[in-house]
Amino acid sequence: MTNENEMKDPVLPLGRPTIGSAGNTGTWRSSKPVFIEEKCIKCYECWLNCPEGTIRVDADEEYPYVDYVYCKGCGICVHVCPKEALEMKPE
Amino acid sequence: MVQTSEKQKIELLTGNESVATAVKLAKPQVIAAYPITPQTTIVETLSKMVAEGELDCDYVNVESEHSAMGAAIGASLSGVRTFTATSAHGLLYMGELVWWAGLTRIPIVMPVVNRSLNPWNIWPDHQDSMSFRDAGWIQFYAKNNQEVLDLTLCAFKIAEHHKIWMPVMVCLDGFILSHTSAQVSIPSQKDVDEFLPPFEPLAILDPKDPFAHGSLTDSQGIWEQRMSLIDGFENSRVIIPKIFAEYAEKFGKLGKNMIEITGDINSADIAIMALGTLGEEAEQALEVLNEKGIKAVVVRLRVFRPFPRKELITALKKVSKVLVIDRAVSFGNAGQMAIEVQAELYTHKIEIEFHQIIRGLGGMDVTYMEIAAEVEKIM
Repeated sequence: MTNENEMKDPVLPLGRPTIGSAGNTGTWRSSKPVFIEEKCIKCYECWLNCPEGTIRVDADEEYPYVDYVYCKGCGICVHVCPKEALEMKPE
Repeated sequence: MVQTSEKQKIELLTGNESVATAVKLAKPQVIAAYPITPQTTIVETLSKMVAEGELDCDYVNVESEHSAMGAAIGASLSGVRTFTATSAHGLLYMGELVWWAGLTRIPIVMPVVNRSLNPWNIWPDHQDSMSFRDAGWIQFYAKNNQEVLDLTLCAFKIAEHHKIWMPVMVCLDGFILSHTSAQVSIPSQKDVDEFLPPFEPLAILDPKDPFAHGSLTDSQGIWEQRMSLIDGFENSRVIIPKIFAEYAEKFGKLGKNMIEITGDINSADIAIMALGTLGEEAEQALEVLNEKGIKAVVVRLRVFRPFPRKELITALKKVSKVLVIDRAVSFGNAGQMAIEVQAELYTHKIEIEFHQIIRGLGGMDVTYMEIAAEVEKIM
């Protein structure tokens, strides 16, 4: 091949971040975190500590909620919550 | 043949100063380097240029060669022209990241000032760079200080070509070139700017459009990337001679071929093959041989990766004997170049007499008289 335009472009090892690139990891869960909104003070410790980014806050001053499609049920959010506003419940 | 180019000035430069001069003209934005004999004066000269404001560039002082290549990879991915340099044990210590740069397509230019490996010895042979010939890097071997400058300038343009996009190693023999002064013709900044356009990244690490580079990859992904690297090298077989030709036309140096033939190949009985300064030494042997009635020719590979098989086969078809002189060994087999030349001869059914010798290890002097004597022995 001598025409540069016909030559193949390099394949670069780039990984773009996408939601759910590992599949629906929510199916791995045996128990799930559930919010008790009356106790929540919106400190967002759960949002900050979730290792999978599955606790969502849509806007400032809104209550956080769990994306159960991807939450693996590790329970870290329950552990870090200062007001016991989260508890694990069996699936 | 020199067209529209400004007057070139001629200066006495060591091989290492030739590298530094070429790099300055190429205007890299990041240099990350660590000193090692006999490479040190390259980065020493460049750091002085940066400190004195002659070169506008971030110079990163790192704690090791491993970090030097790591910093260079990161800098390149941030979208800038990037340079580092090393030798021998520095190259080995850098090893893991040399493969990272090669296999993940980082267009860094790095001279390897050839130096022998263990036990301690600072003199030249090709064992260091040869042990990285499979690492996904383009490899050049320069025969003199002029070629060091020319190949270094071309290296940037070749590495950064969007159909190649891979790192380039410019190999020069330690001390024989690195610390020996010779006349070198230096192109003007204006002409180099015309030849070498600014760095145009294929992907830039940018928090606004984030990506991970080289994260965990499944076998299918690895396969695609390896096949792409093979394609990249095939592309480079076509593009390198074009860039050499463009350089030759503009600056009257180098010539368009990946191999250099010295002597008349059409009337020669034997071809002598050697890399770098050994190739130039072999050129000196031609006259001695001619006086003895032996018609010889030197076939020197200026480019070792990609292996310039097409040009090589065209040349070797015209002779009845070949002597390959390697300055490194693939232990357990033979000299690396000898092995590869033999493979091409067999593949293309070229039945010529094949001879191989290993010379010049650990900086042992190889004179043109010795090369002539080796040729005489087999004639």
